[in-house]
Amino acid sequence: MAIDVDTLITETTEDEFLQQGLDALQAAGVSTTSWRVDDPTRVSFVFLAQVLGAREQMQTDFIRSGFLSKAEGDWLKVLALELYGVEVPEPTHATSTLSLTNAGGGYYNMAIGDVLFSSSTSGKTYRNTTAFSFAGPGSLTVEVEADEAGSDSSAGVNDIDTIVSPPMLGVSITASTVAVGQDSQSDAWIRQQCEATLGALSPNGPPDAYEYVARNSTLTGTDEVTRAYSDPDAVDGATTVYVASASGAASGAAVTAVQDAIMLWAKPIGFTPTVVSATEVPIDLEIEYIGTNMPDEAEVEAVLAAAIGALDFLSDDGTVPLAFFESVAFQYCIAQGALLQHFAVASPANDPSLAKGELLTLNSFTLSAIT
Amino acid sequence: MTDFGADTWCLDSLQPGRYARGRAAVRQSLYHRLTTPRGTLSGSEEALSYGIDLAEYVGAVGDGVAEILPGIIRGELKKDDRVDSVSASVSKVQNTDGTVDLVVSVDVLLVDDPAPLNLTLSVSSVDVSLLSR
Repeated sequence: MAIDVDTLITETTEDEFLQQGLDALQAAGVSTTSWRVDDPTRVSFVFLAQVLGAREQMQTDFIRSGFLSKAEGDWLKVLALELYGVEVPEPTHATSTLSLTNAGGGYYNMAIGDVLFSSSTSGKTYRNTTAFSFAGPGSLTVEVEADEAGSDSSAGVNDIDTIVSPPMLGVSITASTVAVGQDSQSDAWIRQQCEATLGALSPNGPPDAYEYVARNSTLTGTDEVTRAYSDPDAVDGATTVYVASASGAASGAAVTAVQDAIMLWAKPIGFTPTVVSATEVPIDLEIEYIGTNMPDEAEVEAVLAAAIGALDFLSDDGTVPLAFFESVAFQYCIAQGALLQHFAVASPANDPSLAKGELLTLNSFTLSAIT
Repeated sequence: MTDFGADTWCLDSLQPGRYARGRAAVRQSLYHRLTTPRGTLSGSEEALSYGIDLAEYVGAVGDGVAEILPGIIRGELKKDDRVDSVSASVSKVQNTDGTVDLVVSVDVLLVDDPAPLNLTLSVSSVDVSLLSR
């Protein structure tokens, strides 16, 4: 019989501790049901249950932290660093350069963080990271940083378009550059990185070592690459390492950075790894449904795009089952309160095929109600 | 018939081995309700909204305390499901050192019990004493 760690770890909650205590006293003949919230013995039991519950939670988290497959959150990050040497990158704040024009005669002298800007598209806010003095009429460029870390504060060209405060009469934003923020890495990514470090210890380790290096922004200098696959069908020492970003193909600069890092950190003597970007395979996805209370099509599209962006490379030519897209979209719609009688992929008709080194991207998405 | 409950005797201190039952248990509960700052208890919604500390009202609202406090006391004591109705009055006592204490008199009718239960408390800024035991 296979033993799972989850079956060995039992966690008693604060409420369960309290009820066990009350049940035991009740069985011994004490009328616990007549106790009110302020009766001294019940207050003592509640206090004890709270302490025991808090310690139980801490203990089970600590026990789980010893197992790569069970550790979660901050415990997983500690395990990754202590045991595997994997440093998990923190989410980054998106930065941008704004072009300002002062058409009035006002003079503004601003310290770092004094000025609040926002994007009318996303509603996210940004503050200046350099002090500046701005006399009108004239123009000026200002560096800004998002208040919130992560990809939600990413912005396209000219998306940061509003001066929120303080009011600077005559001053307007004429242009803004692209702003990119990175989210914190998922627990699944951390576990994958940890497992890859073990491969580097093996005589057959180069594929895992290449993938580990490719995904390690500290070694490559780029945090664009989030997926990597090292083709184990090596001939005469040649190995191809496919890399991709969360949205699809990796840029030329990222490919070069990963190639350089692998050559420096992971290439054994006698092997010649070549890093190439993944080839994007765009799909046009349509899901049809019968139901009510559905979320917006744009919301479902964003969820599907994120799920597709997290798909790993296939180890050989294969397909991605249509059931994957149905499952992701269905679970999201149900979680948002949708009531569904029918929900299925209408297009494409067959599971998308992928060759080695190819990754899916979502070209278009349609959510169609049918009767 | 309402079960007024029974638990270890506890007024100003816990007395293990001694029990408070019936009206005595209710008297102690009501005393605790008037001497426990809100937020002291936890573990349930009822616990989070439990209690007021009469000592905090000494000097807090000036001359209006005699008019304001009875309503607050009624509202707090009515949260106890053993309480049917509450009548409260507050008077001020000037001390020789210039400080002012409050004397709080509360008459409580319990559910299914025609005999009124009285609590008289002397409240200073640092202490609340139950005068009627």
